[in-house]
This record gives sequence, structure tokens and C-alpha cells, in this order.
Amino acid sequence: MSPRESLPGKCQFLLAVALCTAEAFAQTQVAVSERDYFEELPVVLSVSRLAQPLDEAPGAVTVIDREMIRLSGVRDLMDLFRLVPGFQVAKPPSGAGIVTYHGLGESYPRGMQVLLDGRSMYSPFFYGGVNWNLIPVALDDIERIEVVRGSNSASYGANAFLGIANIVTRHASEGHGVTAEVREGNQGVHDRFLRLGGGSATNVRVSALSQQDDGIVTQPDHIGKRLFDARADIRLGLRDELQLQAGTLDVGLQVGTVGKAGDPSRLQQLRHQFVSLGWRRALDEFGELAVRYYRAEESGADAFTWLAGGMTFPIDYGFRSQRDDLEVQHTFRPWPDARLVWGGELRSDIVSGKQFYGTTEPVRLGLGRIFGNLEWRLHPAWVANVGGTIERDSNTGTSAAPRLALNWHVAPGQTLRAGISGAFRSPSLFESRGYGPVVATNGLLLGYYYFQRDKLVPERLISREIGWLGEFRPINLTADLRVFAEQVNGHMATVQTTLTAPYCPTLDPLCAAASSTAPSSYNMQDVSIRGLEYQVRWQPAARTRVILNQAFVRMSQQLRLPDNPLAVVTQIGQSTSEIINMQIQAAASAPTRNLSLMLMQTLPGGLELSATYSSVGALKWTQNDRISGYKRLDWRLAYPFRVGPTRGELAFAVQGDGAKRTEYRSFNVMSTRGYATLRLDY
Amino acid sequence: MTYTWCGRAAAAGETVWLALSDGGGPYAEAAEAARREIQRGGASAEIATWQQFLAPGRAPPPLVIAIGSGAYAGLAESDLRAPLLATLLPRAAFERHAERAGRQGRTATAVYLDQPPARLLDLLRLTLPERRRIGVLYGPESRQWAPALRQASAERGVTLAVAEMAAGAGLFPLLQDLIDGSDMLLAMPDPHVFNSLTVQNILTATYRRRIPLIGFSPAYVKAGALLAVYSTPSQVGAQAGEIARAWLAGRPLPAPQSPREFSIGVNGDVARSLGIAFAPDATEKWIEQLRLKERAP
Repeated sequence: MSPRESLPGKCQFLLAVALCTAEAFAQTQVAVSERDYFEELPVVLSVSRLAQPLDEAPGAVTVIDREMIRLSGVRDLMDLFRLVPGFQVAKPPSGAGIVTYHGLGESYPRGMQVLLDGRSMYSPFFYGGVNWNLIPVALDDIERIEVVRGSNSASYGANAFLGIANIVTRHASEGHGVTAEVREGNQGVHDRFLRLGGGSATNVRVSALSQQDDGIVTQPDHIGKRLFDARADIRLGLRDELQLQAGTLDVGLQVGTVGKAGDPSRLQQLRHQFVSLGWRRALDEFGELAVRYYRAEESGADAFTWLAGGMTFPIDYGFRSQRDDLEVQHTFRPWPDARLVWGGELRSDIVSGKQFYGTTEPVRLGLGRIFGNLEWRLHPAWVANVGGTIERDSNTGTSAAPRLALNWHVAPGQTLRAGISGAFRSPSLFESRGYGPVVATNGLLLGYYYFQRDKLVPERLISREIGWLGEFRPINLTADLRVFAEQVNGHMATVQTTLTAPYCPTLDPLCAAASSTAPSSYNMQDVSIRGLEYQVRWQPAARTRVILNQAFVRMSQQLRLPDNPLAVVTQIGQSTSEIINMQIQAAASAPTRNLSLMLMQTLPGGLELSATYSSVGALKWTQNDRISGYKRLDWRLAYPFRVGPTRGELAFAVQGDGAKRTEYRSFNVMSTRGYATLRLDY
Repeated sequence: MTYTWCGRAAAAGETVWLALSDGGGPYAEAAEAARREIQRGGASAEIATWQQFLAPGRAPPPLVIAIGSGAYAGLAESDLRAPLLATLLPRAAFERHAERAGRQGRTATAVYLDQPPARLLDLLRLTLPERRRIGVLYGPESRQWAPALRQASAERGVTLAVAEMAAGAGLFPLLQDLIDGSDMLLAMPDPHVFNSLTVQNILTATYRRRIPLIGFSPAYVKAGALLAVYSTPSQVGAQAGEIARAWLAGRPLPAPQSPREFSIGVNGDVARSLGIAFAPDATEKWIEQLRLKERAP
């Protein structure tokens, strides 16, 4: 008997009366039916922290699995986000890649959170945000990436603001044996990868990666990475498992501009190292207790001497940060038709950097949060998720992010979702306390690298969404649509503000010159983001797969300060053009149209062809420039083979085939990159 | 109840009802496959939900194919007199209502979703010949399979380690003992034991002991089972359609039967991590071998 027909009459039109729904649920669980054969098993963890099928999660999720990563042919993690609707990706020179969801990108976008096996990659250093060069993972060690399209402060607190990616690496018991990979290409592409894995009760995996390329080849932009990463999964009986991970990533990055005295071309050395210890205990068939501690340290060496006007300015952008984080999470069934996950997290960030805080003394941020999500099956066809986070940090006080979502299985394979959630992004230590005077050896104050004087508060977001997930089995097609209205209040923007006494530069003691300004951040704008995005996955034939992503985004913004640039100039001393530029940039920071189409085809002889076409509309990454939109074709042709017990693959991949394009700024012209990869598994 | 209702030649224009438990999903997929088969015989078929067919004023059809247990239950309880062919449902769901359907003087037969125990065990012998201790965790809904599985395992000289979970009882202590005494775990559909809430922890527990889990749907393979044998909605739908076509051509309705066609899914990553090497074309070969064995006289 199918669940809906089995309901007693009094339940027919009832959604939320607990007695009746409990009865209905109990009935659905009693008898075996075709549901047992066709139900989807949980696949995503990242929305609510509960393992849920996509159609019962309280948000939109795009899953990028191992196979998709392999077939995409990408070398850089950030490029995978081109395959997710609503995301923008660019590679600026002299820096990390930038990835944003629904705009609000700048040179250092700060709205997206990335978790790597639960460790926050949101940097405590500099502006915050994610440094995509410093994520210590080899693509081949990734099991899957769950990308939440929307905000998720309700589960992961501050900074899971607009877009969150949860990278899950493979269990050490997977991928036993040896994997070796060699890659060579133009534009300085020169990669090596080696992984060893084995064990039984204790499984260990060790990976080493060396990766190099010339970045944006029109200027010195070389990057070299060396990663050493190990993971051990240790079984302690049927219920318990320990997980140990440790790694070091060293990055050498060419930054600056040839001939520019204040920002000369030079090599910046960055390092991320971490150790993580996790314990999981299965309490029963439903419940779990998980505890994890990690320490992550980042450091950078980047010092040079700036000679100007006969004076010497020693500049040191070196920094060091240390994060300690402890998290406890408990999952259980409070009553038969509900599941609850709840827990808490404590974090300490310690950061130092002379050019960022004006002192070599460490700056500290303490943070504590509690989170929870109740998944309640109100009726066999209705699932409610209610949850949220309350967080307190020593910098900005207490913030809360609630969420409510309702999923309705309208018919088999057809689900509608409605949700509303709150999110917040706390100012980073640098945004709120940054102070960077540029002082010559003779004591002369030239100006400020950054100077935050006013207090910042967390920016807030209210997101409303309607989602539809459709599965059309006879034609092997699934569709995922999200219609959204995201309202950001108090968006923090950095602008040049006029200096006043006693902070005037030595050469302009009255701050009379228009050039006596310093960058500073304000909760300056309210931004409205509306639109729709969808993903369609279709397998028209056994050897053919197609993924289509498209997003339509409309942004508008309003100044929080009196909505009149002249009044703002008077109030906080900014130039009119600065304000106008900032307003224009925010409203144009996501393309109104964005499309990507990926085709995967197995050819005769086992050859695998995959191709991704992207079309990105015009957008402004920065205040002073605009790209007019571009089209890009990436493709890959691979020949998998087998020699005795050794499996291998020879692949050739091309990124940006055809015409030159600009993805970040109009003068950063990118051309075709191609590389060949030989891989052996034995 | 009798299964040998005499078949008859279809009159031109007669339309078989394909009554779905619910629109869309696997129901629609099975119905489309059944309709294709019926149309090959020159007859026609109409697809709708079972409630729509029961609307007043509709002339009774020559035959109804109930797709899913909801449709079968609803039609078995109705006053409709036409012979019933149920599919896309497990045996237990069919048998729950078969008595009532029979009592009303109606003929009923089925194409089940359950794989026959002999096929399951033959597959395990083919794929994991060195593993000879098969653990099965029964629940209230799956224990009906115990005698048949016991017999099939005895015939093949493998050991069956069995535990039975009472409704509402804890699963983990049973699982612990069972895993200790087995070198693979065969999952039999039973929502008390295997459901979307429990499967993650069961898979993790077996995986940690390096015990492969054999599932019964593609979702299990995706979630981390080593392999699964199952029949797709199209496969059982087509089989039901063939039966309908034969019946319309004058053949009697057969007794309830297991699905003839089946698929095997393998999780290559799990296989590798368990140190099990399967050839790239292994599943096709297994299906071929199992077919040969099943068709042997």
C-alpha cells in the first residue's frame, strides 16, 4: 500500500498536527513497498549537517563528484565552480582565483565559505575570504564537492553568506595502491602527483603534489605549489573511528608589477599547514556523535624596500595566523519522524602582520557558536527543516541566523521547496581593525595602506527561495531550479576616505591635498539580488551525458547613508566619483546572464570526450574596470587503458580554446592553455 | 484464487488500463514500457492513476495492470471485476491484498520486484566465490524470505548467518554479531532494517569491517554497497506488458513471477578499496551467465 493512500481519513488534509502525522509516518514505515527499491539514499550533508537526499535538504545543492572533476580536466579547484549555476569565477594576476555566488565580487570577495573536511578555509588573515591558492588539497583526493547555492549561516555561522562549498576528501580506505600522474603543457604547466594508500584496520593515504604554471601569461604571474598531505582513518571497533589528517602547502607566487616602485614584481611565499583529529561514534543506526579539533597556520613572507623621493620605505606584507577550532556534533532521533543535529564550536584566531595592524603584536579573535537543525517529516510528502546558529565573537558580539524550509513531494520524483533564511558575515579582523601606515626609515609618514576608524557591524542577508527538483526517469533527466530574492543589508565596502588631523601624512600636515586619503570600510550599501538559476542533468544515451547550467541575476543597490553622493561626501569625506563607482560596481558585480553546458561522450574504442562551453555576461569585478562578457570552450579527450593490473589514462585537455578573452580586467588577456596528462594506478 | 483465467482474443479497440499508484517517477517509466509491449500486439493501453480509472461511468477494461502497491491495493479493494496484473511491487505487498482480490472472484497475478533467492545466491557465487559466509539481517517484512534463502544456500554449499530484528528493537547489537560471523552482508528489502535513515551507519559499519554489502537498488550502489542486483521499472513493466499481450492473444495469465530481466550495479571504488578486482565488462558477463543458468532445463 503506498503511503499516501494508507492515511486514515482524518489525516487527509492535514499538515502539522503532530499526533496524526506520527501515525501516518508509522504506517509508511511498516510495510515493504516499491519505495524501498526506488528511494534515493542520502547524498548531501552540507545544507543541514544531516545526511539528506537532495529533495529533502533545506536548500539547493549542486554536487560535483570525482568523475565530473576528472572529466572536466581542470587543474585548479576554483575552475570547477564554472559548472555550478549562479557562480562567477576569475583569475586575477598576482593573486588567488576569485569565486563568488551572485556577485558582490571584488579583488578580495568575502561572501563565500569553503569547508575542507569540515575545516573552514575562510582565512583569518587579510580581508578574510578564501585564498584559493592556499587550499591544501589535491583534486584527485576529493570524493565530492557539495556546493550550496544560497546562504548557509544557519548551519555554519558567519561567512557562509552567499555560497558555500563543502569539499569532502576520500576515506583513506579508498584508493589503495599507487597513483602517479605527470602533466605537461604550455604556459608553464608542469605538474606531478603521487599518492600511496594502504592498510586495513588503519588506513593511510599520503599524497604529494607539485603544480606550476605562468598564470596570466602577459605579465610575471608564475605560481608554484607544493603540497604534502596525509590522512589516516583508524577503526576502533564497529562504532568508533578516528581520523587524523595533516598537511603542508607551500606556494610561491609572483606578485607586483615590473617597474612599479611601490609594488615591484617579486616572489611572495605563502604557507598553509594543518593538523586535524576527528572522532566519530555511531550511537545506533540513526545517531552519531562527532568531535573534531584542528589547528591551521598560515604565514606569508613578502618584504621589499620602496625607494621614493630619496627616502627608504621598508614594506613588510609578511603575516602569520593561527586558528584552533573544536567542534562537537550530535545527531539523533528525538521522536520517530524527526532527526535532530545540534552542536557547538569554539574557535580562536590569532593573527599578526606589521603592515596590516601597524604592530607586530598578535591580534586575537575568539568565537563560539551553537547550531542545530531539526528535520521533521510532517507527513510522508512533507518535510520541514527548522534550524539556525547563534554565534558570538569577541570582535562584533552576538549574531543569529535562523532558517525554515518546507519540502513537498508533489509526486514521485517531483519536489517543491520553499525556504527563508538569515545569514551574516562578520567583519574580518583586518576589515575592523586594520591599520597600515607607510613610514620611511626617517620617520616620515607617507600615507596608509588601510586605516579603519569607524566601527563595523556584521552585514546581514535575508534569503527567500522557491525550489523545484524534478526527476524524469523515462528520459534520464533531472532538473533543479531555484528562484531567489536575496536582500543584503549593510554590505561592507572599502573606499578611499579623506584623512583628518591627527592622521595627516607628514608631507600634508593639514590634510589639504585631495590625495590625502586612506582605504577604509563601511557598512555602506543595501543590495538586492533577484533571479533564477537552474541545472539540468540529462543522459540521453548510455554513453552520453549533458549538464546545462544557467542563471539570470538582477542586482540593485542603495546607499545606507543618505542616498545622495554629495551628502555622503560631506559625512565621511569621500569623493563623489568614488561613491558612484562603488555603487555601479556592486550593481554590476554579477552578469545578468550566465550559462555553461558540459557534454560528456564515450566514443568508440573507450575514448572519452568532454567539452564545456561557458558564456558569461558583462560584469565589473573592480570599480575601475568592466569586462564585456566572454565565451569560453574547454575540452578534454582521454584514452583509458589497462596493462596487466595497472590502469592508466592518457588525456589531453584545452582550456579556453580559440579566441583570446578577458575574464577579470579588460587588460588581462588570456589565451589558450593546453596540457597532456599521463596517469597510472597500480 | 486461481491464476489460470482463460485468455481471450482482444476485440479491436479494446484498451488495457495501466493504473499508476502515482503519476511520474518509476510508475510512469514502468507504464511506458508496458504500453510499448501491448502496442506491439496491436492493442492499446491507457495510462492514468488508479483513482482516475475508478471515476464513475467508465466501461470496464479487458485487463488492468496495476503499477505499484498503492494502485494494486486500491483496485483490489474496488468493485472493478476485470482481471488484475500487478507489477512494480514486492511480493509481500501483492500477497497482502491478493486474498481480498481473490475473494471477490477476480483473477490476480503479478510481476514482482524481488529477485529470486536462487539468482541472488548464484550472483554471489559468481562475484565473490571466496566469500562463503553470507550474513542476512531479517526484519518483520523480510523474514518471509528465510526458508527460500536457506534452501538456496544449502544447494550451493554456502553458509547463511542469520539475525532477525524485532519491530522497534535496536539494530546495532545484532549487526555487530552478524558482521563478526560473516564475510558479506546481503540486504533484503525491509523498511524496519534498511531505510534512508539507517543505511549510512550500516554501510559505514560494514565498510569498516571490510565486509561488502550487497544491495537491492542502484541507490545502494551509489551510497557505498559493493554491488546490487535489481530490476528497473522498464524491465518489470515490459514483462507485465508481454503478459498482457499474450493474454489478449488468448494465452492464460501465468502465476505471479519474479522479474526475468535484471541489472547489476557495481561500485568500482568500493571494490577497489576492498581489494576486489572486477573486469570492466564483468556485469555483462555475470548477467549472461545467470541467464544461461536460469534458462537451463
